[in-house]
Amino acid sequence: MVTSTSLVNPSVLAPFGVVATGSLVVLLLEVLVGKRQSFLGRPVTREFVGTLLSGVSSIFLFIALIVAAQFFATMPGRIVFDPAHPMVAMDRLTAFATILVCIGSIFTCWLASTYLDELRIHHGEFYALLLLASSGMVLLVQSVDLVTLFMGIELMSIPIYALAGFARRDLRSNESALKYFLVGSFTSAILLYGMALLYGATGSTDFVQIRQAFDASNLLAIAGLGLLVVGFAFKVAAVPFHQWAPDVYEGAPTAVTSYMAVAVKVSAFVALLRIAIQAFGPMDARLSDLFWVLSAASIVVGNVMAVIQENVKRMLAYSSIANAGYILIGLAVGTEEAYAAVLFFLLVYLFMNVGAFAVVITLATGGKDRDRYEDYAGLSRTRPTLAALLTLFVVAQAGLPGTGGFIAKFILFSAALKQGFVWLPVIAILGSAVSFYYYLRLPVLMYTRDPEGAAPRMETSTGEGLVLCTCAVAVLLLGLFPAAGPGFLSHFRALEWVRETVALLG
Amino acid sequence: MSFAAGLFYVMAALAVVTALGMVLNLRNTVAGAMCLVVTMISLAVIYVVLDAHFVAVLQIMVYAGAILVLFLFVVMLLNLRSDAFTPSRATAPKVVGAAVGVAVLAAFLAKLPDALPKVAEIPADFGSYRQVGLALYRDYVVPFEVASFLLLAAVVGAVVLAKRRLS
Amino acid sequence: MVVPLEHVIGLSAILFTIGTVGALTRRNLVVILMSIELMLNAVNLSLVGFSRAFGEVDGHVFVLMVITVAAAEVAVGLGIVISLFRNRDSVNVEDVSLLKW
Repeated sequence: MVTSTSLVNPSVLAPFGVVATGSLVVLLLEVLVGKRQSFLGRPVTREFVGTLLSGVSSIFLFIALIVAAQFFATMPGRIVFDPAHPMVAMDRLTAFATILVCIGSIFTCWLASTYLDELRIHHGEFYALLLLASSGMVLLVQSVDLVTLFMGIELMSIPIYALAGFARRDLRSNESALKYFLVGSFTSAILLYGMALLYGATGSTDFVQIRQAFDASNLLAIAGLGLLVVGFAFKVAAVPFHQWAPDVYEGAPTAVTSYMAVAVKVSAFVALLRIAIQAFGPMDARLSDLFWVLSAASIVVGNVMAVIQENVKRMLAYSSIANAGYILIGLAVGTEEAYAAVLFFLLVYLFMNVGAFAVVITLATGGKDRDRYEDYAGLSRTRPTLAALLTLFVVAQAGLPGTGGFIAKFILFSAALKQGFVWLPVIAILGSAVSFYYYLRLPVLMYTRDPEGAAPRMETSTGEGLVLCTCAVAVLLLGLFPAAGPGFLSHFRALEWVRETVALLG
Repeated sequence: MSFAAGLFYVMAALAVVTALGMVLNLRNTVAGAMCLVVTMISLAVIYVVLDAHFVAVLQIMVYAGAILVLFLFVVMLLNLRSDAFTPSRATAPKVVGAAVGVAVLAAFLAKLPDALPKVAEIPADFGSYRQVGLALYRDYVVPFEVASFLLLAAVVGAVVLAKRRLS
Repeated sequence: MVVPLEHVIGLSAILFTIGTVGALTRRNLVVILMSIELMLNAVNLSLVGFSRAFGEVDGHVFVLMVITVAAAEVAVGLGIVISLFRNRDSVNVEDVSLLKW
């Protein structure tokens, strides 16, 4: 189903171009507006510049989202940049992942605006770095060549190293950036050695040609594939390559943490999915075993370690490790149905995870996060709406019926059972049972205890409100009507979309 | 053995010795950086032996020139002449780690000769500026353009982190 | 080719191992960074070797990208080291509270 002409197709790069151009505009705008006394009839304050740049960034991301949605709706098969040397491709998977990345980045823009004011680190560079990282993610999910894949990973990672250390006066933020940087660049070297060995084994960096020349009995090919998977396991924080995640997530500014937990993970998983399908599919048994081990280990370690955390950001870090484990089930199973389930899981994961982080961000006040469990005691009295929303998001992550989290886990596990994988779903269901303890601890604290300590921030900004509403509606919609719903909801067919997305791959 | 082959083995030995020197040198960071410079220069010579002339020039200019100078600059700026060496703390895991690394390496090297591709004949201008340039601007134009955004990201990131006061 | 390909790839593997062991065992941040640079150099040597074996310059272009990325990483990495050093006068990993691995 590869449709391509002999000419170069620059339109393939449209979403990437829009986002990357956005970063340049934001950089210029900050310089131009920041120097003036007033702009558009408003006095120029730091808050004003921040809000303006946040708005401009989200407009660019929104345009990229529309372009990607257009591709998704009309894409017949796959177009590549240059048929002789594909480099990047546009197909439904790319479009789908680009939409997710753009949504995640827009949420981050909206959340960051007030949050950075609260932390007194509202600099325009934040949005430029955010857009650069997002453009890297867009490139990553459309790469069909090891060289562009590598550039995508780096363009994603390098701005995020800086974003993690964006609270420059905060030692925890410095250390988080340092740790993320050291692990990230070490990972890049590992990944790169894997790529070099694959190039040596197959004579090409193009995914399709790698598949044609791949010989599983060749030492270089197997070593290269192994190092590639290890590199990605680091990036998505799968056990045993996860130790960095809790520290980095805890120390980084929460708006960045949510970006790392969601957008980075989504794009890395989609890239891994594409590699598994296009460069090594149909699923090699050894690759499947490797995913099996990573998945089981991540589910067990993630869920058990989350129980003993006293900090909500750390708890969410371990829960995102466990979620990476669930997603890896789909990769280990390796059927079309399982891949569709992975994409659906990523879709739900985006909303429920950003939602949970958004509540933490909305509570931040006086230059400090409120991220310890005690900070949530009695929240139902002080901020009843936020308490209710946080309950929804953690209940969805635990996988209670009626929420998107339940449907996502259900279709993933049933796809695994159908292929004769019994132990993975069993481990995952036991892990989910454990997860009820640490997720439900939050609602219990919020609804049964009296408020203690300093009061939380009492007002919610427009951006934060929008993110919280969108996430809540999406989590419920995906839970109640995963297929077509009644009335105008009949246009909303998430399950069908993910199936269409994977049907054209291979 | 031809002169070029001899040069390769001398430079290979030099690269390994200086790389070990960089990793094992526990007291002086500047000396470690100087070791790394020698590693990189010997690799540049090896690239010439392997007909990668363009890459060899880049290696000297960017690696040995720019990147190592940046390292030395930071070492001097932060005055890191002596590296507090803590021999008491957990030497055993390091030795075990190094032993595992050597074991994996030995296994890899033992099986390596069977796995390698056959060496092809090359045209006379292989690795020249012209040939690499054509590949870069024709086949690899996408990653090349992306590299410019990557450098922009690095500049903005480094300024955000290291500048004393932001706007 | 004047030397057997396995000697080139073997040298690259040796340098990569030295770099990996250095990055995992050393405690001085600048030395860890230099070890990672050594790993990238080892990768470049592999790419150049394979490129020569195939008679294609794809590997050379890849090396160019790796060098660009290495420069970018070093710039950001040393920026992080400087910002950390401003808040705390040490660049030993063991003095950094989050970095207990």
